[in-house]
Amino acid sequence: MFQTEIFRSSPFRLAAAFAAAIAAVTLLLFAFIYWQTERFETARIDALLQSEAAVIAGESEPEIVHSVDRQLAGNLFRVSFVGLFDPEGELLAGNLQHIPVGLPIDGLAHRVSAAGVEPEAPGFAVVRAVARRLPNGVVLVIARDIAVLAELREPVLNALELGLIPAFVLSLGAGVLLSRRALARVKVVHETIERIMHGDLHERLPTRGTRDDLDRLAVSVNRMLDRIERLLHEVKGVGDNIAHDLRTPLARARAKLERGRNAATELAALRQVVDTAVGDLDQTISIITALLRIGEIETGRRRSGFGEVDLAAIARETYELYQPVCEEHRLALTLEVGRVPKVPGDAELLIEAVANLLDNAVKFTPAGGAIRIGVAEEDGAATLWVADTGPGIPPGERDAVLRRFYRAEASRHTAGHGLGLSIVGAIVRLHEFHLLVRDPASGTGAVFLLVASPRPGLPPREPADEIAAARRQMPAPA
Amino acid sequence: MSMIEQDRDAAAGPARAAPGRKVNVLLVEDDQSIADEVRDDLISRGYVVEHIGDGTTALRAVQARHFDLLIVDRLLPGLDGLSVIERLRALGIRTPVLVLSALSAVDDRVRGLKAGGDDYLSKPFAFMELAARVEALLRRPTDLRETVLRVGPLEMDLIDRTVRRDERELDLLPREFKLLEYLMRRPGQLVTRDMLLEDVWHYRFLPQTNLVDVHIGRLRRKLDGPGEAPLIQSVRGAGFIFRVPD
Repeated sequence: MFQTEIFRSSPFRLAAAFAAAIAAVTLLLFAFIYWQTERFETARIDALLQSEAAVIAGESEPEIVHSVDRQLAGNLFRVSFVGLFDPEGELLAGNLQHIPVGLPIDGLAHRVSAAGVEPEAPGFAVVRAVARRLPNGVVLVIARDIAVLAELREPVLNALELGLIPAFVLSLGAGVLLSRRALARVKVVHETIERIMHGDLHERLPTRGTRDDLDRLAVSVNRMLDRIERLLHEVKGVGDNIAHDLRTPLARARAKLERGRNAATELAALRQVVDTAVGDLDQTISIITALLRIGEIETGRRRSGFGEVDLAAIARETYELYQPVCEEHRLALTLEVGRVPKVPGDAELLIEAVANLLDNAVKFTPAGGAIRIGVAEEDGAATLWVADTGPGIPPGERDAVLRRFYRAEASRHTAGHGLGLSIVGAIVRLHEFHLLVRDPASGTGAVFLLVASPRPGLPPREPADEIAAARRQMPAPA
Repeated sequence: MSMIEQDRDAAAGPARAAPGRKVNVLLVEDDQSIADEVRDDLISRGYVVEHIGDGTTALRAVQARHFDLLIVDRLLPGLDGLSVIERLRALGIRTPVLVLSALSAVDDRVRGLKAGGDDYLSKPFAFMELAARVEALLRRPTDLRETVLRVGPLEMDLIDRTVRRDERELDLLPREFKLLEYLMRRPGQLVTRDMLLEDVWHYRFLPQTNLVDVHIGRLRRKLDGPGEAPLIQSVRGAGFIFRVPD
């Protein structure tokens, strides 16, 4: 199991590939060296044969026969075959049976086969041969066996063996070693992941701080685990809260119905009981609807309704929508619209977001207060803001307010589902905008800013610590 | 499988079928208890209701007999609600359809209307809401090509964008004008808050505050001068009726 794992591991495969590449390059190199050496040797032999033939040809007739014999006697290492043939091709002297077939008589060296007269010469050999016609019509042939060239191969191959095989084995060995180490780390990672999958979400992958690729991967995975753990934690908290929030109105409705059934003596009283119970049920339904709505916005990730949106137009429309509402609550609603560039977005969703911000402001601002809605360009980004003169949000609670599925504590005792800001958050995340909460420039209250740009340098779906950044970077709107 | 109920005397309620003429409604819904409640409620409002529990039978019934209105649940055994509507439309049957669904997502709603539904109501719903939608579908608004609407003491010029009550000219904001136009096209008809949000504001979300009531209140104050009879009536827990004083 572990053995085959090694062969499959990527360090081993890399090492094997390297070893193969090294082998191929080495083979090519040696082939080249051999080829060059052989060419050089052949040229040397050719020059020798040609000059020897020229020397012999220059001698007088009796001397030639003598020279041929002398060549045979003393020079066998340099010349293997010599032959002197009469014009009819009959051997006059030497150890060649006949003029080698296909050998041009031109005084130059050629590669041919030669047959020798045994036992003085080898019966048959591949040779480099020179044929030359002497002035008297006699043909002189001298040739050299090139088996010596083949002998060259041996040291070359030896060197190849000595160089290549250890290199190959070494790289494979290094591959195995590296794979073992990598596999050992991967094994630890596997075990950790197993533990995480079994529910131990606090576990993290081991890191060494070496910043190698495995380490960087582990760091990334750990960051992902951090986020998942946080989200799960949030969801769990949300689940508990929602369950509680649904239970409360349901319990009320149940109690009212039960008591009404036992206590009501006339139809009108019973109707009243039923009406209030239906009201409680409607509230639970509105919480569920709001949760489904958040889910729809968040998981749908639909951007099909996206187009160019003018935040000023959205501010104007929601201003008009809430003007009578504010009047009824004795709140002064004012609109402060500046010119901003259009932003990509879903107008309908953005109206929903701003309506929720205004809903929120109306709900928490006491009568006689003021709500302002405006559009301005801040730090180069189109920004829509809603400011109220309510109690404001203490800095410590602001990140909680912007968290997913945040449900205001106060909303447990007021009408509505209390998930308005969560819906705003979901819409903001879909748009990759960001939402900030700030103090107003003077007096009490809260300012919500919907900034139509992703927060620079950080993933946009992370509203938690935006407040701190906001307080550092941006002045409150006047 | 199917049940035909006799028309009974309509119970109290603002949304009521026109007397004298039987209005046939086909309810296609597979949840028996919801179907029973809806049927009883509609019967109490004076409709004749037939209930069918699956799509295929419903498709056959609509081809065989005349109905004034279909109420079709989206999720049905056999043939689903949207397919039923698509096939009916393909057959050239133009009976108004109200789609019911437990799915409330905007996408589902759009799909429901695209398939040929005329209106879409997501569960859970108030019976009053259902009744108002049914009535709205049965009574299509008055001729849309008219340029002047005259209802009771009101006269609305759709080209000049002016409204008069008797001789008094009313100063309305654009949204108030649209709101009044919507109501004037549906005199005597219950109009719910959701219908107004969807049709006048074109919003598909429900604001938490009583936005619609507040806007209606403001319109009312502009509409009714001192001593004049109120034209817009509130129906508790349901919506509003534009009613011409006798």
